[in-house]
Amino acid sequence: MSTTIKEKSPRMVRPPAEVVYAEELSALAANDAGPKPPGWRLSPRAVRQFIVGSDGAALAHTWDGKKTRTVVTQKFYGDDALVERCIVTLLGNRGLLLVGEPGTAKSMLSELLSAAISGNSLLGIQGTAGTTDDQIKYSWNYALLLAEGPSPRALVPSPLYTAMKNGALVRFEEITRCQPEIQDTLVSLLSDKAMQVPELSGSDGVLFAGKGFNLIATANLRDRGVHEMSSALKRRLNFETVAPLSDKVMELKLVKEQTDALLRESGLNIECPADVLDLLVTTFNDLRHGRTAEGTVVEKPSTVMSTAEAVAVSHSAALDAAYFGNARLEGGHVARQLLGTVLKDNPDDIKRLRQYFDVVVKVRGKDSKVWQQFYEARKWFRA
Amino acid sequence: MAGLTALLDRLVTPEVIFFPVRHHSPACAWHLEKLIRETSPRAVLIEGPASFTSLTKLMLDPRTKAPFAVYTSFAPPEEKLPEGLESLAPQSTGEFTPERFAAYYPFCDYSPELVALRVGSAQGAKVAFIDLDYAEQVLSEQKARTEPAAPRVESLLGERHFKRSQYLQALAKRAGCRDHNDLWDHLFETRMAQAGEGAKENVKSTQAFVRDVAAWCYLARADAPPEELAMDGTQAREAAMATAIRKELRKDQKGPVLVVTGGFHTVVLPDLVREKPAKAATEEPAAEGVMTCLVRYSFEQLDALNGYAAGMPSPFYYDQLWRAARNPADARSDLPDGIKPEPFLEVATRFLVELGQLTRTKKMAAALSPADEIAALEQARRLAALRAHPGPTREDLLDGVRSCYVKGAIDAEGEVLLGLARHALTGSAIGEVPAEAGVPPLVEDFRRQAQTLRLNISDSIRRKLSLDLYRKTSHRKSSRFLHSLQFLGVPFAQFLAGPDFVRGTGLERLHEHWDYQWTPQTESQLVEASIYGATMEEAATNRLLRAIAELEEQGRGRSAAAGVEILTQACRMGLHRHTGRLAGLIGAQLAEDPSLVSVVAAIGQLLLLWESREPLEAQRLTEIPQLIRAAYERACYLLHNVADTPVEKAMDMLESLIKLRELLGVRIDDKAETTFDAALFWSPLESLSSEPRCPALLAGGVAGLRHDAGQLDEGALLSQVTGFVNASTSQAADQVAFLVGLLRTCPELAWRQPAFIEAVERLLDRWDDDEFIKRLPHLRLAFAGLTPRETDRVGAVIAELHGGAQVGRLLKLDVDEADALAAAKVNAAVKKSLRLDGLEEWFEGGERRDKGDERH
Repeated sequence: MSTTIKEKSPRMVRPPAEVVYAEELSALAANDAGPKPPGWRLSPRAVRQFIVGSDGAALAHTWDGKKTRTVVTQKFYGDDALVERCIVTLLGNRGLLLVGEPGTAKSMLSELLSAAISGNSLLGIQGTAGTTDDQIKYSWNYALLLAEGPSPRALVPSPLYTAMKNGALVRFEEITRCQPEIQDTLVSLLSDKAMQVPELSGSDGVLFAGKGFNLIATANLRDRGVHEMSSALKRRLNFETVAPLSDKVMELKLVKEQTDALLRESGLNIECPADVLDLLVTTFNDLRHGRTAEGTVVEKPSTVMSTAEAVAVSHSAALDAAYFGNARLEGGHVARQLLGTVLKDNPDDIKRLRQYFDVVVKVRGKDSKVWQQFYEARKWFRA
Repeated sequence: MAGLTALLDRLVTPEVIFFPVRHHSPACAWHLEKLIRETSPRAVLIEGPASFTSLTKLMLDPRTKAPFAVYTSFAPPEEKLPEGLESLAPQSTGEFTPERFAAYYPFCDYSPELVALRVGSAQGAKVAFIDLDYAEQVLSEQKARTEPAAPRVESLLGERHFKRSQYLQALAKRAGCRDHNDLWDHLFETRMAQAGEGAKENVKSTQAFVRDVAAWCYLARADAPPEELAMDGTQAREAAMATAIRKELRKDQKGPVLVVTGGFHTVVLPDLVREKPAKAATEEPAAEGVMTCLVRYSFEQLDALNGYAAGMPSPFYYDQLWRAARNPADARSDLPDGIKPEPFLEVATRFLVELGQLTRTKKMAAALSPADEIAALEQARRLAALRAHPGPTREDLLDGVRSCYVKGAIDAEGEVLLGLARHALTGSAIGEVPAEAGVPPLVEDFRRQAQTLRLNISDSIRRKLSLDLYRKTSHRKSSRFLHSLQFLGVPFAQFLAGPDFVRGTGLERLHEHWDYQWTPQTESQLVEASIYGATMEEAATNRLLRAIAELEEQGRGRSAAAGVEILTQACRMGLHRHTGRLAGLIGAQLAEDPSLVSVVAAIGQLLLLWESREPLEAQRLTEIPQLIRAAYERACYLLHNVADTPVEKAMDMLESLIKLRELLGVRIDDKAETTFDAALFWSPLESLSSEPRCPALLAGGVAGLRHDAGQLDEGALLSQVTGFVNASTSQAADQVAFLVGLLRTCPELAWRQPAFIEAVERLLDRWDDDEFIKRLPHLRLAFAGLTPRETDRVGAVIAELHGGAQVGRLLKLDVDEADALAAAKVNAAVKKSLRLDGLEEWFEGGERRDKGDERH
């Protein structure tokens, strides 16, 4: 049973990448001159181009019966070399493990890679504390099992099983949230690239992975509720750290694009002035790094101030402005929504935020109206 | 583009060949060697100060082993220093040498310049250096081009223009490279050892290489504005080089002239050589004390030096790469037949295996296995294939390490491994120079300075020295000299007594007392230390930077006080130049320091440094007031957590609070506004006494502080006192602690506020004798801070309360405390027994009066 979705349904909140970017994938396939590894839909260079973008170049192809040219957009901002390392890892014997702080687009990268390489990003296992062996390997249709005895028909394959059978990529999200014993199920699967099914006999008793099979896992290494990974499993994976965006210009661009896209989905027309977004991105940068552009050192809150959070804040602030304000995004809206982001579980964070406001925002407010509004909204920060 | 094509055609002609190189590029060296062997030039002219030509014999000596450097320095005569150059001069007063400018010109086995020198002279060509001398270069510059905090010593092979060229950056992005170093590797280093099949193809590949390097440099130069090139001396140098080339060309001899210069200059030289020389009015400044000598150098220093000017990194890696490329296929007997050795792959394999072995021998937690090494090599090879390299380049190699060796987040577990990898790529080789090269400049510098400061180094007699830091500049210089020697670990002088600004002791003293003695160990240690620099200042600087780097590595969690210590040491040695980086480090440590006590200690030290800035000449350290302010803000932030102080640490915390309070009046700079925002200090303290978990000592202390500052009026204070005092008896410890704290910060309450004494009396009344004796020591402590006169006043108040004008004679018994306490205990026991026997009335009358007397 493999899951693929061909078309975008207007009721879907979030269609998979291979549906959203179907046109780009088709354009890349049509212009792909490089050698394709067995089991891959595109060559490694084309996969790279899918993720990093074609730098404005429009590729010619046929879509919907018509000849068009499509530009491949940049989907992952940050480290191009990281993308190359990920692609090359997937060509090899080891699996890929993307680690990093929350909100750094690990899952998005995993989705894009599997969409481009296997054409299917839905073969995924979601790791939780309650993930069991069955969800990783296979389970049974018990009615059939009792009626007919063990047979391939009665076997309910897991996404991993399907990926091995079809030579595709399987995604394992949040692998470290699984119990270590369950994680270790993967150890022999990744080294032998074969799954034993003792209940079946003959050639069905062993499933050999088809060429093109590999595993992309994601994990937060430092969070509550994550377990240690055994060294045996670590040895079979290549670790790649996805870092938060360090380039402020890029982050600003990303936040603006994503916010606009989200607002379009909600059907709202709100003015988001560039200086307010700049204020938001600057605040996030300062709190993330613990140091402002002027060199003042501030205490970092314990929550991770990721880019994803920045997008969420700007989106909610815009909604706040639209429904409760005068449809113009201002510093005060950002301040109100910021509180919910910063104050997650550590009450000390409110003190840190106040300190930031007292030491940094107050000074900046003297020169800029937007920062002044931002500073005045601190009255909402009640412990 | 027409300009570019025209240039490319002029590079190689029968009379003259212009070979553009990037300094320390093995690919350039490789192709250059090939070219020299093919074309047999009659003269090889190399970019480098002309005075180096006298050293070529030494450089070519078989005993000389790379890496080595030519060290050149000079002292510009003060009067002749042209206007606008003051910013260039090292920060003046307080230096213990006359101003000297110094530079290094490093050479490695794979440096194109050294290869040109060696191969050229082996073929019988004349070799010469043709650039302006260093002194002339510096004096013709009109504007400082380095940042204020950079050391004075520079590399003569700076690469600012490549780093900044926007064209190259865009090209890097287009090619998928990280930066211009990666781009260079991608485009040019990969062409090393790519000989064509047959001699003709061979020649063509080198020609193509030369044209491409020239194109790279041409486009990089297109971005650089001509005014800048005039100002930083580039044009003057190119003019001098063109003159020298023209002179050589005029000699009518057979064979081409080969010109080896940095590519940035190569692109303009063909035109310059052709032009009629303009009458350049070069001033002839008489630079004094010009010194040029050959010194040993190390890969580590080369890497660090290039870190400032962004030259090619990882010297050992390129060294190995070059050696691997030079070994011709038939000489490699250890390879099976038919296998062509591939230098990139070979070097990458070797490094990965060595790195793996290193982790195992060091018994690291992240020890690697051969399986990891195989995976890393495979990763590097595949990445090279994806990026269209003939073999794994340096970044491909490092990417293999990042992917396969790092088992965790790259900024946590990865840091250790990547640090090891970078260290392995940099290498630790140190070169050799023959004895004729002379005494290392550091020893010369030491001798010269000792002579200037009138220290006797002609014999081994131990002598004493007394230095007046405050009044004599020359003594200050001597102090710095001796402190630097101590810092470098050179046995010469010992500090006996005097103000210690680092520890903050003996500050009232005006003289430093030293004891010095020259021994052969002094010189031998200096020779050892000469690797760190050619002058005392430079060597001390490098050591200081190393100390800073170590502090940075251990950074997190350490108190800021250690950073301030190094800062004071730096000032003590006169190395004010480096305080910028230190200040940044201290600022970062302050921001992470979780302890208020430690932050206040750091503020104290910084203030001390600022106040002693006269003998330490730290006036120019504008960072210090900034740091003090930042530390104050941090301290005030930490005040919010004061309530969480454990009881044992409460007294220390109170002392810190008092110190902090004293700061509020301090004015660091002479501006009108006060330095410290008092509101930041007082607002967290307002809510402190109502915090239930706040130790009573602190609550009392803070109440006292606030009352003193007028923030807490008497009524409120008294109600707080009463509140604590009337607390249930199980918290007797708290009651006393509150009083202790209160009297520590506001002792005058004891005699000014009769109501206070009344409250204390009520407290005492409630205690029975056992309780009283138990609490007596703490009560004594509470009142111990009062002077005798104040105690007298307190006594008067008490007496008044009891209706007497005086307390009566207060006897000071010649009994020691323990005895008195024991006696009091016995007394109490007796009373108790009398009470049990129903005889208490017999004592009643005398008791009250006794109680008043016992309080002394």
